[in-house]
Amino acid sequence: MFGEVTVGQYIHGESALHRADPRTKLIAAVALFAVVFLIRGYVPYLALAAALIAVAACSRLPLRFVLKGLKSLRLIIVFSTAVNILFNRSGEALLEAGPLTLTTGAAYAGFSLLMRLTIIITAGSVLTLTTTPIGLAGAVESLLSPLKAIRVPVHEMSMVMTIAIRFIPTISAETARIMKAQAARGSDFDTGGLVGKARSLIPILVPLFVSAIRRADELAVAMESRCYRGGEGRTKLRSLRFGKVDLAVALCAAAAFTAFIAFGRLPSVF
Amino acid sequence: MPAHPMDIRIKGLTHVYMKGTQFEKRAVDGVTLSVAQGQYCALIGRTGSGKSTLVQHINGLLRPTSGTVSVGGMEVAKRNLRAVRAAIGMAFQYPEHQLFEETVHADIAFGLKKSGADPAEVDGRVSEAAKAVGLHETLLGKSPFEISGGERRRAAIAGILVTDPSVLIMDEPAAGLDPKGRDELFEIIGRFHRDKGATVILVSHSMDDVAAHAERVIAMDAGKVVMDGPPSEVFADAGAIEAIGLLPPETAAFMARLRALMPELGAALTVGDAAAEVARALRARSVIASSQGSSQ
Ligand SMILES: Nc1ncnc2c1ncn2[C@@H]1O[C@H](COP(=O)(O)OP(=O)(O)OP(=O)(O)O)[C@@H](O)[C@H]1O
Ligand SMILES: [Mg+2]
Repeated sequence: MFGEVTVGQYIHGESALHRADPRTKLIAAVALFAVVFLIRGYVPYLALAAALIAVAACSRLPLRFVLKGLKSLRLIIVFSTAVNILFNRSGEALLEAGPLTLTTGAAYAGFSLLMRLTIIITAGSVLTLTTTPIGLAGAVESLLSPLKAIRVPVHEMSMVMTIAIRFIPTISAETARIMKAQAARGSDFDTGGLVGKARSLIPILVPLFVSAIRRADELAVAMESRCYRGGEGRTKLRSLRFGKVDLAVALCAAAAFTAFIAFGRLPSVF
Repeated sequence: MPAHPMDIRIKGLTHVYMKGTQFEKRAVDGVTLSVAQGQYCALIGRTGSGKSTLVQHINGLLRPTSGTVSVGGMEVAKRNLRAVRAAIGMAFQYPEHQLFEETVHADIAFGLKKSGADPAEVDGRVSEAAKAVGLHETLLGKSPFEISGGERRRAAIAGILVTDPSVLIMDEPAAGLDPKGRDELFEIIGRFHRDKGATVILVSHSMDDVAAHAERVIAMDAGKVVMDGPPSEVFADAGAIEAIGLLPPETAAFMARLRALMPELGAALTVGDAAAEVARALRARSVIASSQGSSQ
């Protein structure tokens, strides 16, 4: 009832994918998202999906975790695929069932949308499952650091992101605790209309904000007492280093993407 | 005492957190236990032994993975939750963190209003509960965020006692209180127990508090109940207590060491009992000594 929270999305492991530099993984993921929209045809999509399955297998994560993202978005996937199939009238008719006609265009539109969504969601899952949130925040900071030249507070933004990520499990545990305490006093979160439900949030939100603000205050004091003063000249405990694994991951990704874009864009080959 | 005794019956209770993930954890493992109405029980065990998980089943905050829990003959299930929770008052560690209303008065009244109490009665019962926990009337109009930590704790406890629960579950209620605050808190709980005939289940890491207040001690380790009996019995076996990662009460340890000098000394768990026991032993010695003196 009070949601058992898996800490972040990251699942610890020792695979090459886990050990690779978060920046490499982030760039590869972004490149993959681009490729997904550039290629065309049944075979390229299936090949890309196969490649992604191979990558996911490298991570040695249980399949269940990899597919969890798909499971939670299944309604959206099914719905948008269905809409695409139903309302597309291009190409020749493949099948006719009463008033409904399945055209070749509709079949392909449905297929490509399904593949795009599945590939993006799965790739995103593989990225977050194999990379610590802190690692991701570090990667974003590092990749955006050129923007510091135009006075974008990249370090501060990344610190905010890191802290927010760090506190997700804390705050959700706190929420569960407060919900239990109020439920024990007779609070009821399921019944009542919209207004009733909104009202029943007050006993949760007020203590939650109070404790979040208290925590923020304590954290600020703790950071200052450790002489934190912002980004200028700071080094990191785990500095990102581009190693052999990264070179391998990057080269594989680059080769695969070039191949996909080169061959996958040839129109109507398949 | 209510018409139906609010006995708690737990049968074969098992709770597994995050079942089917790599974080799977069997926190409570096949516990069978009953607590009669009016008992003052303590639940002890090292950190992570499953105490909090166990007690949260009694008012349905957690669902059993398997096994059943019933309170006063009602099974703790969705359809009975309202009635079960109305009969059970529960305080978690740092209960003051649940305060949210604009005034202390409104916060104490929260649970009472939720239980559908007569509005005309509310003020009187809030004042009574405030008095029971030693919270001054003048504080009732203040915001819970502008009173001291100790007063907040009292306000939170008052908000639990105000509904007159038949069962009071306290999960480490004394954490973070100064010694005087602890004594006063146990005084409040003890008085509620005596005056209302309420069942008390006290989860605590302080063996001294447990020995001083509880009439029954249930010890858990790794999700199982490993000892169950009156404090004198449970704490008699210091080796068994240490084996589950706990230490016997200070007084018991003190008496054990004193016994090396005075083998005739009996056991005692509280300072008062120990003093009485030592006095008795000393008196017996001086009676022997003086009778020996007079016989010569
Ligand atoms: N929400 C949760 N999700 C997953 N595991 C949990 C959760 N709550 C507790 N556990 C685990 O279950 C076990 C028992 O926890 P529980 O809180 O019942 O112990 P406890 O005896 O109350 O300990 P303490 O004395 O520290 O309060 C622990 O190993 C704990 O890590
Ligand atoms: Mg606990």
